[in-house]
Amino acid sequence: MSGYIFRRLLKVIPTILFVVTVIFFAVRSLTGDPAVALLGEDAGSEAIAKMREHFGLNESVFVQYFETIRNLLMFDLGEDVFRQLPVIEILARPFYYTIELTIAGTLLGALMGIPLGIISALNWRSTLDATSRLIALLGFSFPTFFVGIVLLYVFAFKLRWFPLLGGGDYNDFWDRMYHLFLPALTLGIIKASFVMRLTRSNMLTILQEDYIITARSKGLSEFIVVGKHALRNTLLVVITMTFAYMIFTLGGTIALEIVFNRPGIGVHLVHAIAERNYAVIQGGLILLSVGVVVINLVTDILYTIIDPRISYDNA
Amino acid sequence: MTTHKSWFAIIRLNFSDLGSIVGVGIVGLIVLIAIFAPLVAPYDPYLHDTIIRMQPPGAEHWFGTDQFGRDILSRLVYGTRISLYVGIVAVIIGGVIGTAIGLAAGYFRGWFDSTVGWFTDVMMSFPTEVLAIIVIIGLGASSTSAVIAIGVVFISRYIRLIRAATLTVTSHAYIDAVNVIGQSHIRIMLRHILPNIMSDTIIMTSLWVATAIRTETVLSFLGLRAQPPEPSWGVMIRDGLDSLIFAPWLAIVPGIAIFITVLGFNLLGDSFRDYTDPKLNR
Repeated sequence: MSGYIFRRLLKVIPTILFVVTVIFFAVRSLTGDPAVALLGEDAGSEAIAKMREHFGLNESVFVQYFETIRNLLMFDLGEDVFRQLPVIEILARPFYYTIELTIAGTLLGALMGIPLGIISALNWRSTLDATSRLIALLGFSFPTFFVGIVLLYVFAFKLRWFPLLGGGDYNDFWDRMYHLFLPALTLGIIKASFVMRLTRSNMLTILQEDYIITARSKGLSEFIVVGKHALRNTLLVVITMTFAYMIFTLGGTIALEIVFNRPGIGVHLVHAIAERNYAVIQGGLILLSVGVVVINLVTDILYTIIDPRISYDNA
Repeated sequence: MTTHKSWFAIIRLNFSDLGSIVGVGIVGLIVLIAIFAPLVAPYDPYLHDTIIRMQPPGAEHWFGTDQFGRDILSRLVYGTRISLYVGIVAVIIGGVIGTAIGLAAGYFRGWFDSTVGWFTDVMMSFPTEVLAIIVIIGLGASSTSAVIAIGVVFISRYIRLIRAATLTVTSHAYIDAVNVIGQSHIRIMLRHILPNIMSDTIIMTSLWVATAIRTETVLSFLGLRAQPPEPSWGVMIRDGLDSLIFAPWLAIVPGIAIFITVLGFNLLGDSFRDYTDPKLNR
């Protein structure tokens, strides 16, 4: 197994390189000169030329590309020309806010979706089952940001139970959690419809397995059959898949941060695109990609742990 | 007791059928609204009238007016055109390119297949929004680039679907037979494999139109897509968000329109799948 994990780790390198290359050339093809964007249309050509020189924009694209890669190896995402700060410094805290929201949304989704799925499967084809399946189908059809707007309106504007906007005081844990709850609940509701369907179908399949029939015919109580034999196997699969789908939760945070005005990567990215801030766009996309790659890596390793039937070392 | 139970049983049994009826109804209605938008819309969706700005829903304007006095209902009606256009064109872009690549990968196998496989894995592992943003940045923000970006997102999904289906079909003896009688690869792929995998494709296409429409609203909401006067539902929500406290209908009403449309395509796709999947015990 350790051999497999090592080879899986090695595979990360070409993936990251490929993604960084695509992002680099996408950002370079943005129309508009960042020096002009920074200094304004009226700036003299001499000042613009100086600015281009300063940021290495006169170098060929390939020199800039290798420069970017070399900096990345040293965890340097370049410099934000607008604020004269290293991009990593600007994006470190937003990245934290985004990850915090992604994890909290995933947890809430699992906490709501798994019990609902189990109840649905145990009451297969009952009205309860039909109702929760219908709710899950409805959940699939809402854009995440719209659910966020509705929750924001009801719980923050009307009932005033939760703060209106922002990410909370970074140094105050409880204030941060207070600001986190509503956006995380939004992601959780959408995620729960997925988790619920997944848990239900897995549980239904497992309840028909031979070993469940054996357990039942041995005269074990329904509580032991479901709780010990069925649930454990269902949960392994569901938790792994829920983790894998954290990627889509990460994607959902971008628009949600705009709704709740949370100072995360999504908000910074959209602002950077509006002001043509090359370095911040590139840095934001690279950070999101690294998040994706890490989630995929951990998912693959989780799979090797939950499924001992597959021998990865000979693969 | 028995009658009570059987009454629920009828609802249960017809759950998927009811779903397909609702799905067909919603999609049909939205297509009709999009085609006959000028006839359906009570007002001009672009007409500014500052005297009646920010009016709440009422008899004159069913869903109220926005910050420029434009009629929300009329903008919603014209918005169906944008949503359907983006949803369908994006899926066609992804479908045509993805089918061609997936078919070739599944048929020829070898290094081409493994390269495509790696590529698809990387693309599929990215959230839709992030992938679309990268493409839009590369092409520049406009209506066209948003459509292309959403189409690109679907290329990898189609490759994976078509490749798997091609592998199954290629293992059948009749493919060996047409190979032996010396038909060209192109002819075998187009005449003998493609028709046999079309049904899988059509089912997924209906579900993916729903995803494409939802993605378009996210991109518009992020300000990466439409030109401001265009009545895209995502842009309407974005504009409405600023006045959520005073005029909640500005953001809520277009959100419900998106929800109904996406739900319609999801129900349609689900019922197609139930109908054609022999494994499902109906």
